[in-house]
Amino acid sequence: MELFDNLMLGFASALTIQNLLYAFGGCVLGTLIGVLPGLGPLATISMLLPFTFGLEPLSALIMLSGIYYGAAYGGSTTAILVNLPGETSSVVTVLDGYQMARQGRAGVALSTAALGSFFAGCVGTLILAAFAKPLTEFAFEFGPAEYFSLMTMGLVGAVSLASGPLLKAIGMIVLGLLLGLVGTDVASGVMRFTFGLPQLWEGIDFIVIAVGIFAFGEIIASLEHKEIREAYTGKITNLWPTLADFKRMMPAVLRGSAIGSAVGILPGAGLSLASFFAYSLEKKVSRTPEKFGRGAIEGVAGPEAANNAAAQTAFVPTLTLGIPGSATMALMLGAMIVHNIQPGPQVMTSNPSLFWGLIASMWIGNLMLVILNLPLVGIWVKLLTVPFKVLYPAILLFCCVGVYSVQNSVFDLFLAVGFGFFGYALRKLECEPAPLMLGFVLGPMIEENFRRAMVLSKGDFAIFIHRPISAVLLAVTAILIIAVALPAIRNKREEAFQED
Amino acid sequence: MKIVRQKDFASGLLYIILGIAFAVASYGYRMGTASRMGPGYFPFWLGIIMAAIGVMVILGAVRSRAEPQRMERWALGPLFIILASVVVFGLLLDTLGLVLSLIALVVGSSLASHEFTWRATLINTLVLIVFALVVFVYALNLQFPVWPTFIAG
Amino acid sequence: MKFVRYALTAAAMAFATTAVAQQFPAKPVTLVVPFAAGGSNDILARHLGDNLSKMWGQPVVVSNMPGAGAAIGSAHVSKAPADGYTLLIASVTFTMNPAVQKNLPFDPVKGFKPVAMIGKVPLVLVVGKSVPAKNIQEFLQTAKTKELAYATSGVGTVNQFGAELFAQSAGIKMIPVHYKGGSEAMTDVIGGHADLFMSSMTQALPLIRGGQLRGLVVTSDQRASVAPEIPTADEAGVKGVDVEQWWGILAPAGTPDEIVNKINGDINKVLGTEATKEFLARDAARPTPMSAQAFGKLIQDELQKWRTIAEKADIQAQ
Repeated sequence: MELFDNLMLGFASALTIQNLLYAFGGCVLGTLIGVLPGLGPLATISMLLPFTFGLEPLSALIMLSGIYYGAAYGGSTTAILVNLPGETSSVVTVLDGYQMARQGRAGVALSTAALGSFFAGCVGTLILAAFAKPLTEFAFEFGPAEYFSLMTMGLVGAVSLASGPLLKAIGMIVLGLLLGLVGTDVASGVMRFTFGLPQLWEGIDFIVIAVGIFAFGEIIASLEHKEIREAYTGKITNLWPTLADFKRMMPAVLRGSAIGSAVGILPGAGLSLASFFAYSLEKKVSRTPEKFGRGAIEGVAGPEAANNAAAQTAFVPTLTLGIPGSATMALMLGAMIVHNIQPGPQVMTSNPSLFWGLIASMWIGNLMLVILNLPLVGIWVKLLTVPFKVLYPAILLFCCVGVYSVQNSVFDLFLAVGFGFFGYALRKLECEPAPLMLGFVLGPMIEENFRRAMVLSKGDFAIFIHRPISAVLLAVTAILIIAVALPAIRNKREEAFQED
Repeated sequence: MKIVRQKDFASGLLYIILGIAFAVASYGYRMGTASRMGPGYFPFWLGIIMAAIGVMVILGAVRSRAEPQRMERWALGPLFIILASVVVFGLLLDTLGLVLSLIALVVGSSLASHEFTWRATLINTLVLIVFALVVFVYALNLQFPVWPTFIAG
Repeated sequence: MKFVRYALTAAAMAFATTAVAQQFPAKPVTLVVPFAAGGSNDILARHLGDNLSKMWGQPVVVSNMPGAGAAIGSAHVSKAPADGYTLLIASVTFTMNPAVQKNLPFDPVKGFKPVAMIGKVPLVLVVGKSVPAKNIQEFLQTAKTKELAYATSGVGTVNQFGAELFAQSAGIKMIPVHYKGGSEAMTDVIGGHADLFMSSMTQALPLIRGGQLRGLVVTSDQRASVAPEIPTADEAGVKGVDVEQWWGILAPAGTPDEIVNKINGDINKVLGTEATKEFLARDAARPTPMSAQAFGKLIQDELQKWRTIAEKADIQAQ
C-alpha cells in the first residue's frame, strides 16, 4: 500500500513534540487574530507570516498550516457571531450561522462548523494524498471556456442565496457584478469607474464592502432595535449539537466534503465557489428549504465542510506544480520559497519527506483546530454576553484597522463608510446582500474568462458548446434556470387563476 | 397608479438609477462587439439589465393587488453617529496617530448607544488602546502612525 | 534620547555631507515593498534588509505597501524626505508602466534617484501542449502558419513586452491573451489553452524540469546557468531580444549623492557574498552589482526602449 507508506513517512517527519507545539501555536495565533472582525483569513495569514520566517522549513510549514486553518476557522467564528464575512466563502456561513446565533444557538453553529470542517479536512487530505497527480491533469482541462460556464452556473445558483423575492435578488447579483468590475480591466488595462483615484486601481477590496455592508450596517441596525439585541444575547441554550442536530448535519457535511473536494482543485475559482455550491445544493435537496436563511443547521454544516475540503484540495496545484490557486495560496507559496523550497513537480520525488510531511502536517493542523476550538466555543459564546454597548465600539475599531491595513490608506475607510450607508439602505429596502457579494466576486472572473475564450476562439461563440466540459456545465445551468423559473411561473399562474 | 409596496418601489428606483449610472459611465470606454469585447461592453449591458430589472420591480410594486408594504423609519441618529465617527477616525489617523483617533472613534461611536455612560466608555477606551498597542503595533507590527506626527517627528 | 539622536544627526548634517554619509544610517531605514508580503520583491527585500541591518547596526524595516499595481508604494517613496531613510524596491515593471499608463501618481524619472541594482533573471519562452515545437525553428514555422496566442500576466507587464519584443525581432505576429497574474497564465499554457508564455526563469524552471513546459529560448545575452541547455534567442537566430526581469533600489529624488553612493557600495558588498549569490540562485537570478550612475542610465534606456516597443506593438491601456 503505497499511499499508506507515504503517509507514514509524512507523519514520521512531521510528528515531533516540537512540531506539534508549532502547529498548536499557529492554530492559536491564527484563530485569535482571525476572529477579530475586519481581519479576514488573507490579512491574518499575511500578518502572521513573518512569525514563521525563523523556523526550520518543515516546522515553518506546519506552523503556517496551523495559522491557515486557525485563520479560516476564526473567520467563520466572526461570520457566525457578528454577521461579518471575512472572505468570500464565509458569505454563506453568515446566512444561517448568524441566525442560529440570534436564536441562542451560537455554540451549536460553532461546533457544527468545527466538526464539519474537521471531517471535510480529513476527506480532503486523503484525496490530496491519493490523487494529487491525476487531479492536476483534470484541472488542466479547464480553460477559459470551462471557467466561464462554471461561473455562469455559480451565478444562477446564487439566486438560491436569497430568501426573499427572486427579481430583487437578481438585481443584487447584477449590482455585485458591476461593483466587481471597478478597477483595472485585465484584458485592456483600462481603469474602469475609478474616478482617477489610484486607490481604486486594484478594485474594491472584499473586506471593504463586507465591513461596510455587513458590519457597519449590522451595528447601526442593532442600535436601532435595542430590545431584540438584549433578548437574544440573554438566552443561550446548549453549546453542543443534539442527536437530532447530528442527524441533520451529517448528510450535509458529506455532500459538502464531496463538492468542496471536487471544486477546490480548480485554481482561482475553487475556493470561492465551493461553499456557494454546497449551500445551493443543501437548499435544493432539503425538504424544508423555507428554513434556510432562518437558522438551518445544514446551511452551516454543508458550506463549512465544502470550504474546508476545498481548502485542502486547493493545495493540489500549489503543491504539484507550484502554481497558487488563490491569493492565500500565493502567500503560502511565498512562505515556502522563503524557506528555500521551490514548489514544483519535482518536490514529490526529490524531497518526499517534505512533501508528505506537509500533507501530514495539514491533517495535524486540522486536528489541532478541533482540539483547540471545541473548548473555545464556550468562550466565544460568552463574548455574546458582553454588553453590546461595550462590544460594538470594539468591533468598529477592529473593522477600521482591518480596512486600513488593506492598502494602508484611509481612503478605504471612507469607501467603507459609503458602503455602510448603502448597506443600511439595502436593509431598509429589504434587498439581500449575499447575492451581491457573490456577484462581486464572480463579476471580473466571468468577464475575463469570456473575453479570453473569445480571443482564443477568434470570436467564435461555438467554443462554449464544442468543448465537452463547458457544454455539460452549460446544460446543468439551463436545467437550473428552468428549475428556478418553473415554480415562479406556476405561482404566477395559480395567482392568475385565483384572480379570475 | 398607487405605490402599494413602498420598499420595492424604492429598490426599483435605486436599481434604475445605479443601472443607468453604470451604463452611462461605461459608454466612455471602448465598446467593441460581443466577440471582441472592449472594456465598456460588459458593464454597459449589465447596467441596462439592472435598470430593466428595476423597472420590473417597480411594476410589481404598483400592482393594485400586491400585498401592501410600508417604508420603515430610518434610525438617522445611530446611522450618522457611527459613520461619522469612522470618518473622523480616518481623518485623524494620518496626522494624530492611532491612539488619539482611536479615542475619537470609540468615544464617538459609544454616544450612539442608548445605554451610554462615561464610566464604561472610558474604561472601554483604555482597554482598547492597550489592546491595539500590544496586538497591532507591537506584536503584528502593522504600519500605523501611532503618535501624532508633531511629537514622533 | 530620541531627541538627542536627532540633534546629533542635525549637527552632523551641518558639518559636512561626507560626515553624513559616514554616519548613515543614524536611525532605522524603511525599505518599501510596493506589494503584499510573500512575493518575489518582498522576499528579496527581506534578505537585503537583514544583511544591511547587520552591516549598519540599524534596523532595516521592510514595509509592505500594496495597492494600484505598485503605484501606491512607489508614490509614497517619491514623496518621502530625500534623506536615504526611505527606499523603494522596484522591478523592471517600473520602467514599463509609464509606457502604458498615462496618469501614474508619480514621475519615474523626476521622482526618484536610482541607488543600486540588485539582480537579474532572464525570461524564457515556454510552450505547452498546444504547440508541439521542440526548438525555436519549429516554433517559428508554426508561428508563421497560424497566429499564436501568447499569455501575459496583464497589460504592459514584462511578459507582454518580452513576447512583443520577441515577435518584432523574429518578424512574426502573435496576439496577447491577458491573465490576472503569472500563475493563471502559466496554468493555461500548460493546459494548452494559450500557446506560449514569456515567463521569468524563476517560475518556469520547475515546470520545464517537470516536463509540463518546454523552454525554447532565453532572452538574456548569455545562457542561464540554471538551464544551460536552452539557447539564447541570439544563438537561435533571433537578434535583438534583450529583456530581463530585474530588481533595484530607488530613493526619493534629491537624496544627496554621498548617501546614495554609500548605500550603493554597501548593497554591492552584500551582493558579493556567497550567501546572497546562493539566495538569488534559488530564484534562478544572479547578482548584478553596478554603480548608482550606471543603474540610472539603465533605467533611462529601458524607459525609452519600452516606449518605442509599446508604440510599435500598440500596447496601451485602451
